[in-house]
Amino acid sequence: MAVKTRLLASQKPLFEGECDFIVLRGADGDLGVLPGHSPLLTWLKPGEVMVRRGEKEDYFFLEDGFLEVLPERVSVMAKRGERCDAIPLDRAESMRKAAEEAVARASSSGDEKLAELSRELEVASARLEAVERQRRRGRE
Amino acid sequence: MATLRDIRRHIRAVRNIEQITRAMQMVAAAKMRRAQARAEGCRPYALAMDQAARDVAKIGKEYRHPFLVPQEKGRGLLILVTSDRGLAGSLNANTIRAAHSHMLRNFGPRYLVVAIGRKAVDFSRRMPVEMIHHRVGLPDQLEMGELGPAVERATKAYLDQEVSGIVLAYSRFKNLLTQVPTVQQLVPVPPAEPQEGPQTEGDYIYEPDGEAVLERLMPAYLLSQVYHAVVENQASFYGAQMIAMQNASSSAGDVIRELSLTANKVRQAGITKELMEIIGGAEALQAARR
Repeated sequence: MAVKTRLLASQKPLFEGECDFIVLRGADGDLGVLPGHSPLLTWLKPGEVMVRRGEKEDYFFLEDGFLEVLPERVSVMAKRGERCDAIPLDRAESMRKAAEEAVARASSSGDEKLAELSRELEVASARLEAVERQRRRGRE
Repeated sequence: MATLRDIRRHIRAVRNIEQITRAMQMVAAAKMRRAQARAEGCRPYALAMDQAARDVAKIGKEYRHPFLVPQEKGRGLLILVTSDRGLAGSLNANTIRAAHSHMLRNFGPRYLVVAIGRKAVDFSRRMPVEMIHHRVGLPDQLEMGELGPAVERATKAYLDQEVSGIVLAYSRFKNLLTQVPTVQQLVPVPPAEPQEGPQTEGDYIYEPDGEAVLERLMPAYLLSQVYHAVVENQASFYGAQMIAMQNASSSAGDVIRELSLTANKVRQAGITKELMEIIGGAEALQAARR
Protein backbone atom coordinates (compact mmCIF):
# COMPACT_ATOMS: atom_id res chain seq x y z
CA MET A 1 0.00 0.00 0.00
CA ALA A 2 1.24 3.40 -0.88
CA VAL A 3 -0.25 6.85 -1.00
CA LYS A 4 0.23 9.62 -3.52
CA THR A 5 2.34 12.25 -1.84
CA ARG A 6 3.66 15.62 -2.78
CA LEU A 7 6.02 17.95 -0.95
CA LEU A 8 5.88 21.42 -2.44
CA ALA A 9 7.93 24.44 -1.45
CA SER A 10 7.10 27.83 -2.90
CA GLN A 11 10.35 27.89 -4.91
CA LYS A 12 10.16 24.36 -6.26
CA PRO A 13 8.53 20.96 -5.78
CA LEU A 14 10.67 18.78 -3.50
CA PHE A 15 9.03 15.40 -3.89
CA GLU A 16 6.19 13.94 -5.87
CA GLY A 17 5.31 10.26 -6.00
CA GLU A 18 3.98 7.25 -4.17
CA CYS A 19 5.23 6.69 -0.64
CA ASP A 20 4.65 4.30 2.24
CA PHE A 21 5.17 6.39 5.34
CA ILE A 22 5.69 10.04 6.21
CA VAL A 23 6.82 11.58 9.49
CA LEU A 24 6.33 15.29 10.15
CA ARG A 25 6.47 17.79 12.98
CA GLY A 26 2.82 18.73 13.37
CA ALA A 27 1.39 21.55 15.47
CA ASP A 28 0.51 19.08 18.25
CA GLY A 29 3.75 17.11 18.07
CA ASP A 30 5.35 14.64 15.72
CA LEU A 31 2.99 12.61 13.63
CA GLY A 32 3.25 9.78 11.16
CA VAL A 33 1.03 9.29 8.14
CA LEU A 34 0.40 5.83 6.69
CA PRO A 35 -1.75 5.10 3.65
CA GLY A 36 -5.43 5.14 4.63
CA HIS A 37 -5.05 7.86 7.25
CA SER A 38 -8.22 9.86 8.03
CA PRO A 39 -8.53 13.35 6.56
CA LEU A 40 -6.30 15.68 8.55
CA LEU A 41 -5.37 19.31 8.37
CA THR A 42 -2.62 20.87 10.42
CA TRP A 43 0.21 23.35 10.24
CA LEU A 44 3.76 22.21 10.68
CA LYS A 45 6.47 23.38 13.02
CA PRO A 46 9.71 24.27 11.29
CA GLY A 47 11.61 21.03 11.04
CA GLU A 48 12.30 17.74 9.40
CA VAL A 49 10.00 15.68 7.21
CA MET A 50 10.80 12.07 6.42
CA VAL A 51 9.36 10.36 3.36
CA ARG A 52 9.80 6.59 3.06
CA ARG A 53 9.19 4.57 -0.06
CA GLY A 54 10.31 0.97 0.02
CA GLU A 55 13.74 0.92 1.60
CA LYS A 56 14.53 4.49 0.72
CA GLU A 57 14.13 7.36 3.16
CA ASP A 58 14.37 11.01 2.14
CA TYR A 59 14.67 13.88 4.57
CA PHE A 60 13.58 17.45 4.00
CA PHE A 61 13.61 20.61 6.05
CA LEU A 62 10.43 22.70 5.86
CA GLU A 63 9.52 26.11 7.15
CA ASP A 64 5.98 27.53 7.41
CA GLY A 65 4.32 24.37 6.20
CA PHE A 66 0.84 22.87 6.09
CA LEU A 67 -0.22 19.24 5.85
CA GLU A 68 -3.41 18.09 4.19
CA VAL A 69 -4.18 14.37 4.37
CA LEU A 70 -6.97 12.96 2.24
CA PRO A 71 -7.74 9.31 1.49
CA GLU A 72 -6.47 9.77 -2.06
CA ARG A 73 -3.45 12.01 -1.49
CA VAL A 74 -1.15 13.66 1.01
CA SER A 75 -0.05 17.24 0.33
CA VAL A 76 2.58 19.22 2.17
CA MET A 77 2.94 22.87 1.23
CA ALA A 78 5.73 25.00 2.69
CA LYS A 79 6.87 28.56 2.21
CA ARG A 80 10.46 27.37 2.14
CA GLY A 81 11.96 23.93 1.99
CA GLU A 82 15.04 22.01 0.93
CA ARG A 83 16.58 18.56 1.08
CA CYS A 84 18.45 18.08 4.35
CA ASP A 85 21.51 16.72 2.53
CA ALA A 86 21.62 19.88 0.41
CA ILE A 87 22.10 22.23 3.37
CA PRO A 88 25.77 22.83 4.25
CA LEU A 89 26.43 22.44 7.98
CA ASP A 90 28.52 25.62 8.24
CA ARG A 91 25.73 27.69 6.67
CA ALA A 92 23.16 26.26 9.10
CA GLU A 93 25.55 27.02 11.96
CA SER A 94 26.28 30.58 10.91
CA MET A 95 22.59 31.32 10.33
CA ARG A 96 21.74 30.02 13.77
CA LYS A 97 24.50 32.14 15.29
CA ALA A 98 23.34 35.26 13.44
CA ALA A 99 19.76 34.65 14.59
CA GLU A 100 20.90 34.19 18.19
CA GLU A 101 22.82 37.46 18.14
CA ALA A 102 19.90 39.32 16.58
CA VAL A 103 17.57 38.07 19.30
CA ALA A 104 20.07 39.00 22.03
CA ARG A 105 20.44 42.51 20.60
CA ALA A 106 16.70 42.98 20.21
CA SER A 107 15.85 41.76 23.73
CA SER A 108 18.41 44.07 25.38
CA SER A 109 17.19 47.11 23.41
CA GLY A 110 13.49 46.23 23.67
CA ASP A 111 13.00 46.07 19.89
CA GLU A 112 9.42 45.40 18.80
CA LYS A 113 10.73 42.99 16.18
CA LEU A 114 11.66 40.57 18.97
CA ALA A 115 8.78 38.19 18.27
CA GLU A 116 9.70 37.88 14.61
CA LEU A 117 13.39 37.45 15.40
CA SER A 118 12.69 34.72 17.95
CA ARG A 119 10.65 32.94 15.32
CA GLU A 120 13.60 33.14 12.96
CA LEU A 121 15.83 31.77 15.70
CA GLU A 122 13.43 28.86 16.15
CA VAL A 123 13.63 28.15 12.42
CA ALA A 124 17.42 28.42 12.38
CA SER A 125 17.74 26.07 15.37
CA ALA A 126 15.42 23.56 13.79
CA ARG A 127 17.40 23.72 10.56
CA LEU A 128 20.70 23.16 12.35
CA GLU A 129 19.20 20.24 14.24
CA ALA A 130 17.93 18.71 11.01
CA VAL A 131 21.34 19.05 9.37
CA GLU A 132 23.11 17.50 12.37
CA ARG A 133 20.75 14.55 12.33
CA GLN A 134 21.37 14.21 8.61
CA ARG A 135 25.13 13.98 9.27
CA ARG A 136 24.66 11.37 11.97
CA ARG A 137 22.54 9.29 9.59
CA GLY A 138 25.24 9.66 6.95
CA ARG A 139 27.82 8.10 9.28
CA GLU A 140 25.74 5.09 10.26
CA MET B 1 11.91 65.50 -52.22
CA ALA B 2 14.28 64.26 -49.50
CA THR B 3 17.90 64.71 -50.28
CA LEU B 4 20.36 61.86 -50.10
CA ARG B 5 21.83 63.33 -46.91
CA ASP B 6 18.41 63.40 -45.18
CA ILE B 7 17.77 59.78 -46.06
CA ARG B 8 21.18 58.66 -44.80
CA ARG B 9 20.59 60.50 -41.53
CA HIS B 10 17.22 58.76 -41.19
CA ILE B 11 18.86 55.36 -41.79
CA ARG B 12 21.41 56.03 -39.04
CA ALA B 13 18.64 56.96 -36.60
CA VAL B 14 16.66 53.80 -37.33
CA ARG B 15 19.80 51.70 -37.01
CA ASN B 16 20.38 53.14 -33.53
CA ILE B 17 16.84 52.23 -32.54
CA GLU B 18 17.35 48.73 -33.87
CA GLN B 19 20.46 48.31 -31.75
CA ILE B 20 18.58 49.40 -28.65
CA THR B 21 15.58 47.12 -29.25
CA ARG B 22 17.89 44.21 -30.02
CA ALA B 23 19.76 44.77 -26.76
CA MET B 24 16.48 44.97 -24.83
CA GLN B 25 15.34 41.78 -26.51
CA MET B 26 18.41 39.92 -25.29
CA VAL B 27 18.15 41.28 -21.76
CA ALA B 28 14.47 40.30 -21.64
CA ALA B 29 15.30 36.80 -22.93
CA ALA B 30 17.87 36.23 -20.18
CA LYS B 31 15.56 37.54 -17.45
CA MET B 32 12.64 35.62 -18.88
CA ARG B 33 14.41 32.28 -18.50
CA ARG B 34 15.06 32.89 -14.82
CA ALA B 35 11.57 34.24 -14.21
CA GLN B 36 10.08 31.26 -16.03
CA ALA B 37 11.97 28.86 -13.76
CA ARG B 38 10.67 30.69 -10.71
CA ALA B 39 7.09 30.71 -12.01
CA GLU B 40 7.15 27.01 -12.84
CA GLY B 41 8.78 26.16 -9.50
CA CYS B 42 6.08 28.03 -7.61
CA ARG B 43 3.09 26.79 -9.61
CA PRO B 44 2.57 23.36 -7.95
CA TYR B 45 2.79 24.96 -4.49
CA ALA B 46 0.25 27.67 -5.35
CA LEU B 47 -2.11 25.14 -6.93
CA ALA B 48 -1.89 22.87 -3.90
CA MET B 49 -2.61 25.78 -1.52
CA ASP B 50 -5.59 26.73 -3.66
CA GLN B 51 -6.78 23.14 -3.67
CA ALA B 52 -6.42 22.81 0.11
CA ALA B 53 -8.43 25.99 0.66
CA ARG B 54 -11.13 24.79 -1.71
CA ASP B 55 -11.20 21.38 -0.05
CA VAL B 56 -11.80 23.04 3.31
CA ALA B 57 -14.52 25.19 1.76
CA LYS B 58 -16.14 21.97 0.55
CA ILE B 59 -15.97 19.68 3.60
CA GLY B 60 -14.84 21.82 6.55
CA LYS B 61 -17.53 22.23 9.21
CA GLU B 62 -15.83 22.54 12.57
CA TYR B 63 -14.82 26.16 12.05
CA ARG B 64 -16.14 28.39 9.28
CA HIS B 65 -13.45 30.98 8.72
CA PRO B 66 -14.87 34.27 7.32
CA PHE B 67 -13.05 33.53 4.03
CA LEU B 68 -15.28 30.47 3.62
CA VAL B 69 -18.58 32.19 4.28
CA PRO B 70 -20.29 33.90 1.31
CA GLN B 71 -21.16 37.52 2.11
CA GLU B 72 -24.13 39.58 1.11
CA LYS B 73 -23.30 41.14 -2.26
CA GLY B 74 -21.39 44.38 -1.73
CA ARG B 75 -18.47 46.09 -3.38
CA GLY B 76 -15.62 44.04 -4.75
CA LEU B 77 -11.89 44.19 -4.21
CA LEU B 78 -9.52 43.61 -7.09
CA ILE B 79 -5.89 42.71 -6.50
CA LEU B 80 -4.48 43.80 -9.84
CA VAL B 81 -1.00 42.56 -10.73
CA THR B 82 0.80 44.24 -13.65
CA SER B 83 4.36 45.09 -14.57
CA ASP B 84 6.04 48.36 -13.62
CA ARG B 85 7.30 49.06 -17.10
CA GLY B 86 5.79 48.90 -20.55
CA LEU B 87 7.25 48.03 -23.95
CA ALA B 88 5.65 44.63 -23.60
CA GLY B 89 2.97 44.74 -26.24
CA SER B 90 -0.60 44.38 -25.05
CA LEU B 91 0.29 42.37 -21.92
CA ASN B 92 -0.97 44.76 -19.24
CA ALA B 93 -3.85 46.04 -21.34
CA ASN B 94 -5.15 42.48 -21.71
CA THR B 95 -4.95 41.76 -17.98
CA ILE B 96 -6.61 45.03 -17.09
CA ARG B 97 -9.39 44.57 -19.63
CA ALA B 98 -10.20 41.06 -18.39
CA ALA B 99 -10.09 42.16 -14.75
CA HIS B 100 -12.18 45.27 -15.27
CA SER B 101 -14.93 43.49 -17.15
CA HIS B 102 -15.03 40.74 -14.50
CA MET B 103 -15.44 43.39 -11.78
CA LEU B 104 -18.14 45.22 -13.74
CA ARG B 105 -20.08 41.99 -14.24
CA ASN B 106 -19.83 40.86 -10.64
CA PHE B 107 -19.55 43.96 -8.48
CA GLY B 108 -20.26 47.17 -10.43
CA PRO B 109 -17.93 49.99 -11.42
CA ARG B 110 -16.99 51.43 -8.02
CA TYR B 111 -14.82 48.61 -6.77
CA LEU B 112 -11.70 48.78 -4.62
CA VAL B 113 -8.22 48.07 -5.93
CA VAL B 114 -4.98 46.84 -4.43
CA ALA B 115 -2.56 47.77 -7.22
CA ILE B 116 0.68 45.86 -7.68
CA GLY B 117 2.89 47.28 -10.43
CA ARG B 118 3.00 50.79 -11.88
CA LYS B 119 0.59 50.04 -14.73
CA ALA B 120 -2.02 48.93 -12.23
CA VAL B 121 -1.53 52.16 -10.29
CA ASP B 122 -1.91 54.25 -13.47
CA PHE B 123 -5.09 52.38 -14.34
CA SER B 124 -6.58 52.86 -10.86
CA ARG B 125 -5.92 56.59 -10.99
CA ARG B 126 -7.68 56.91 -14.36
CA MET B 127 -10.78 55.00 -13.35
CA PRO B 128 -13.52 55.78 -10.81
CA VAL B 129 -12.24 52.99 -8.56
CA GLU B 130 -10.82 53.36 -5.08
CA MET B 131 -7.18 52.37 -4.70
CA ILE B 132 -6.67 51.36 -1.07
CA HIS B 133 -3.09 50.11 -1.39
CA HIS B 134 -0.36 50.07 -3.99
CA ARG B 135 3.04 48.56 -4.38
CA VAL B 136 5.56 49.25 -7.15
CA GLY B 137 9.19 48.36 -7.70
CA LEU B 138 9.10 44.72 -6.63
CA PRO B 139 12.44 42.97 -7.20
CA ASP B 140 12.80 40.02 -9.57
CA GLN B 141 14.08 37.88 -6.71
CA LEU B 142 10.85 38.30 -4.82
CA GLU B 143 10.49 37.26 -1.17
CA MET B 144 6.97 36.34 -0.15
CA GLY B 145 7.15 38.74 2.79
CA GLU B 146 7.33 41.73 0.42
CA LEU B 147 3.68 41.18 -0.41
CA GLY B 148 2.60 40.90 3.24
CA PRO B 149 1.27 44.49 3.56
CA ALA B 150 -0.76 44.28 0.34
CA VAL B 151 -2.37 41.01 1.40
CA GLU B 152 -3.03 42.26 4.92
CA ARG B 153 -4.74 45.37 3.58
CA ALA B 154 -6.96 43.24 1.34
CA THR B 155 -7.79 40.92 4.24
CA LYS B 156 -8.71 43.87 6.44
CA ALA B 157 -11.05 45.28 3.80
CA TYR B 158 -12.84 41.94 3.67
CA LEU B 159 -13.00 41.33 7.43
CA ASP B 160 -14.23 44.90 8.02
CA GLN B 161 -16.95 44.16 5.44
CA GLU B 162 -15.84 46.98 3.17
CA VAL B 163 -16.04 44.40 0.38
CA SER B 164 -17.85 41.13 -0.17
CA GLY B 165 -15.23 39.43 -2.30
CA ILE B 166 -11.58 39.48 -3.34
CA VAL B 167 -10.52 38.85 -6.92
CA LEU B 168 -6.98 38.42 -8.23
CA ALA B 169 -5.92 39.32 -11.79
CA TYR B 170 -2.56 38.70 -13.43
CA SER B 171 -1.03 37.33 -16.58
CA ARG B 172 -0.18 33.64 -16.48
CA PHE B 173 2.92 32.52 -18.33
CA LYS B 174 1.90 29.69 -20.64
CA ASN B 175 4.87 29.77 -22.96
CA LEU B 176 7.10 32.31 -24.62
CA LEU B 177 4.43 33.29 -27.12
CA THR B 178 1.35 33.03 -24.94
CA GLN B 179 0.52 34.92 -21.80
CA VAL B 180 -2.95 34.24 -20.52
CA PRO B 181 -4.87 37.02 -18.72
CA THR B 182 -6.14 35.27 -15.61
CA VAL B 183 -8.89 36.34 -13.23
CA GLN B 184 -9.28 34.25 -10.09
CA GLN B 185 -11.77 34.55 -7.27
CA LEU B 186 -9.86 34.29 -3.99
CA VAL B 187 -12.43 35.09 -1.33
CA PRO B 188 -14.93 33.74 -0.54
CA VAL B 189 -13.02 30.60 -1.37
CA PRO B 190 -14.88 28.72 -4.12
CA PRO B 191 -15.56 25.18 -2.85
CA ALA B 192 -14.00 22.28 -4.73
CA GLU B 193 -16.24 20.82 -7.44
CA PRO B 194 -18.18 17.65 -6.57
CA GLN B 195 -15.94 15.43 -8.71
CA GLU B 196 -12.66 16.94 -7.49
CA GLY B 197 -11.35 17.42 -3.98
CA PRO B 198 -12.01 15.06 -1.10
CA GLN B 199 -14.51 12.30 -1.88
CA THR B 200 -15.69 12.19 1.70
CA GLU B 201 -18.44 13.93 3.59
CA GLY B 202 -16.68 13.77 6.94
CA ASP B 203 -14.73 16.73 8.21
CA TYR B 204 -10.99 16.82 8.73
CA ILE B 205 -9.31 16.13 12.00
CA TYR B 206 -7.70 19.47 12.83
CA GLU B 207 -4.58 19.75 14.92
CA PRO B 208 -4.68 21.52 17.31
CA ASP B 209 -8.24 22.63 16.35
CA GLY B 210 -10.20 24.03 13.43
CA GLU B 211 -9.93 27.66 14.38
CA ALA B 212 -6.18 27.57 15.04
CA VAL B 213 -5.46 25.77 11.76
CA LEU B 214 -7.68 27.90 9.55
CA GLU B 215 -6.54 31.16 11.13
CA ARG B 216 -3.12 30.21 9.81
CA LEU B 217 -4.06 28.47 6.59
CA MET B 218 -6.34 31.16 5.16
CA PRO B 219 -3.84 34.07 5.30
CA ALA B 220 -1.15 31.74 3.97
CA TYR B 221 -3.49 30.73 1.15
CA LEU B 222 -4.12 34.34 0.19
CA LEU B 223 -0.43 35.23 0.30
CA SER B 224 0.54 32.16 -1.72
CA GLN B 225 -1.90 33.05 -4.50
CA VAL B 226 -0.79 36.68 -4.73
CA TYR B 227 2.88 35.69 -4.62
CA HIS B 228 2.33 33.16 -7.37
CA ALA B 229 0.48 35.77 -9.45
CA VAL B 230 3.38 38.20 -9.20
CA VAL B 231 5.94 35.55 -10.10
CA GLU B 232 3.87 34.39 -13.10
CA ASN B 233 3.36 37.97 -14.15
CA GLN B 234 7.08 38.67 -14.10
CA ALA B 235 7.74 35.75 -16.40
CA SER B 236 4.89 36.90 -18.69
CA PHE B 237 6.27 40.41 -18.74
CA TYR B 238 9.75 39.39 -19.86
CA GLY B 239 8.30 36.98 -22.40
CA ALA B 240 6.00 39.65 -23.85
CA GLN B 241 8.75 42.24 -23.80
CA MET B 242 11.12 39.91 -25.60
CA ILE B 243 8.58 39.34 -28.37
CA ALA B 244 7.70 43.04 -28.59
CA MET B 245 11.37 43.94 -28.94
CA GLN B 246 11.91 41.23 -31.51
CA ASN B 247 9.08 42.69 -33.58
CA ALA B 248 10.47 46.19 -33.14
CA SER B 249 13.92 45.06 -34.29
CA SER B 250 12.56 43.37 -37.38
CA SER B 251 10.38 46.40 -38.24
CA ALA B 252 13.44 48.59 -37.88
CA GLY B 253 15.23 46.24 -40.27
CA ASP B 254 12.39 46.61 -42.80
CA VAL B 255 12.50 50.39 -42.55
CA ILE B 256 16.27 50.38 -43.06
CA ARG B 257 15.91 48.22 -46.19
CA GLU B 258 13.25 50.49 -47.66
CA LEU B 259 15.21 53.62 -46.90
CA SER B 260 18.38 52.15 -48.40
CA LEU B 261 16.43 51.41 -51.57
CA THR B 262 15.18 54.99 -51.72
CA ALA B 263 18.66 56.29 -50.98
CA ASN B 264 20.10 54.27 -53.86
CA LYS B 265 17.39 55.46 -56.22
CA VAL B 266 18.02 59.07 -55.28
CA ARG B 267 21.75 58.59 -55.71
CA GLN B 268 21.24 56.92 -59.09
CA ALA B 269 18.87 59.67 -60.19
CA GLY B 270 21.53 62.23 -59.28
CA ILE B 271 24.18 60.43 -61.29
CA THR B 272 21.87 60.07 -64.27
CA LYS B 273 21.00 63.73 -64.13
CA GLU B 274 24.68 64.73 -64.06
CA LEU B 275 25.45 62.41 -66.97
CA MET B 276 22.58 63.87 -68.98
CA GLU B 277 23.89 67.34 -68.32
CA ILE B 278 27.42 66.41 -69.41
CA ILE B 279 26.21 64.65 -72.54
CA GLY B 280 23.80 67.46 -73.34
CA GLY B 281 26.59 69.98 -72.87
CA ALA B 282 28.97 68.00 -75.08
CA GLU B 283 26.38 67.66 -77.83
CA ALA B 284 25.62 71.38 -77.69
CA LEU B 285 29.34 72.15 -78.06
CA GLN B 286 29.65 69.80 -81.04
CA ALA B 287 26.60 71.33 -82.68
CA ALA B 288 28.04 74.81 -82.18
CA ARG B 289 31.40 73.78 -83.72
CA ARG B 290 29.62 72.50 -86.86
